[in-house]
Formats: sequence, C-alpha cells, structure tokens
Amino acid sequence: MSERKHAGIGRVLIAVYAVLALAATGRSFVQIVQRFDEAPLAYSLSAVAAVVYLVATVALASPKDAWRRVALAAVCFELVGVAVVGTLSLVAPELFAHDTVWSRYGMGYLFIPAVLPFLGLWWLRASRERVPA
Amino acid sequence: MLAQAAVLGAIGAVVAIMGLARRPFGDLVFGAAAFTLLTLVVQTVASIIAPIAGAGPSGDLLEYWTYLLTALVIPPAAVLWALVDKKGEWSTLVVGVGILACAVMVYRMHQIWFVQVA
Repeated sequence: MSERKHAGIGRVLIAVYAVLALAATGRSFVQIVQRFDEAPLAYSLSAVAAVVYLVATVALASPKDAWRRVALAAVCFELVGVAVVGTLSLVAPELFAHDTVWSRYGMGYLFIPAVLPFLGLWWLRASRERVPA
Repeated sequence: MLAQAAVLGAIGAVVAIMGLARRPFGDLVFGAAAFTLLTLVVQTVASIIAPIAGAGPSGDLLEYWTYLLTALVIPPAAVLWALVDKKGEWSTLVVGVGILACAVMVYRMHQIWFVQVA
C-alpha cells in the first residue's frame, strides 16, 4: 500500500511541497539573520511555516502509515496558518508589515500556499481510500 | 537575468505541459534541466566576478545568494528524482515544476540585483 501512496500525481504534490519548503526556509533564514528585530512575530512565523512545509514534505513522501497523521496535522496547520495570517495581514497590516509566506494568502508565492493545503488534504484522502483496510 | 528568467519560464512551461500530456522523462527533458542548471552556473560565476569588477548588486547580497544556492539545488534534485523514479509517469511534470520555480527565483534575483535598494 505504500506503493499506492507514492504513485501517481501525488509525487508532483510532494515536489511542489519540497520547492515551497526550500523557498520558505531560504526566506526565513535571510529574514532572521538580517532583520529579526524589525518584526520578530512575522519572522518567527516565517521560520515556523518553513519547518511545517519541511515536515509536510517528509510526511507526504514517507510510505509509513504513522506519517499520514503527521502529514494531516501539518497540512491542517498550513490551512489554518494561511487563513489566519492571510486575514490578519489584510485587517491588521501593522502586525504583519513584513512579509511572510502566508501574508495576503500567499500572494507573493502566486497563492500556492493557499491552494496547497486543499490539494494535500485531497491527496491524503484519495490515497487512503485506495488502500485496502 | 530578466531574459534568463523569461527563457527558463518558457522552457519550464513547455516541460510542464509535456508532463501533463504524460510524456515520459527522456533526453529532451533531461536537456531542459541541464540547460537550466547551466544558466544558473554561468550566473553564479558572473555573480562572483561582477562585484570584483565593480558592478555589485543594488540589493541585498545575502538574500541574493540564498536564492541562487537554492535554485542551484533544484534542477539536479528534480533529475535525480526522475532517475530514481523510473516508472513514474509524472517525472516530467516534476522537472517542469522545478524549472518554473527556478525561473521565478531568477526573476527575484534580477529584482534584488538590479532593482531593489538595500
């Protein structure tokens, strides 16, 4: 059944997660090294987002069933993150004057951060249904 | 860098469309990834030489190099993935997505080098 979870278009999803994880890690690294004092909240969040994307990438890629729950948690966290931070960045811009991956619903990343959690949830669901009980 | 980003964007789009059409990973896709990496290596060399010649970036150097080093990892990683996953139908799309990501990153690097004021 691990074959199933790995097969097909899910691999593309994992690849997109990997790229986003790289992008978020790179960005938060630069932000924290250079300007952490300017916006500790936004930049800490960048780092947290980066870690969650890394975890999601690994969890989605892993054939072990235990990782499925980790993947689910990470993907849900992203969904909440992009919704909350996206909304806050619009209604309370002074809190998030400095960009994070999730600001304005991930506009700086072509809204990919807003779409990915849904694809991730769909994929987790679809791949589970194909696994015989 | 702007032209480089545009060319990589076009190549990435073509490869991604090939991937969606379920074209298998082959020499053409491998060549596209190799070309992408080649432009990035040339860019790396140029980015080292240019500041010595007195034409440094207008923007943030650390941010620039973080982008460049990350971009350099993507094409080999995508190809490695495709080679490991021989039976995979979606390897071509993975490489296409990788090249598109490189295109976006090169565009950002262009902004940092030429537009952004530190």
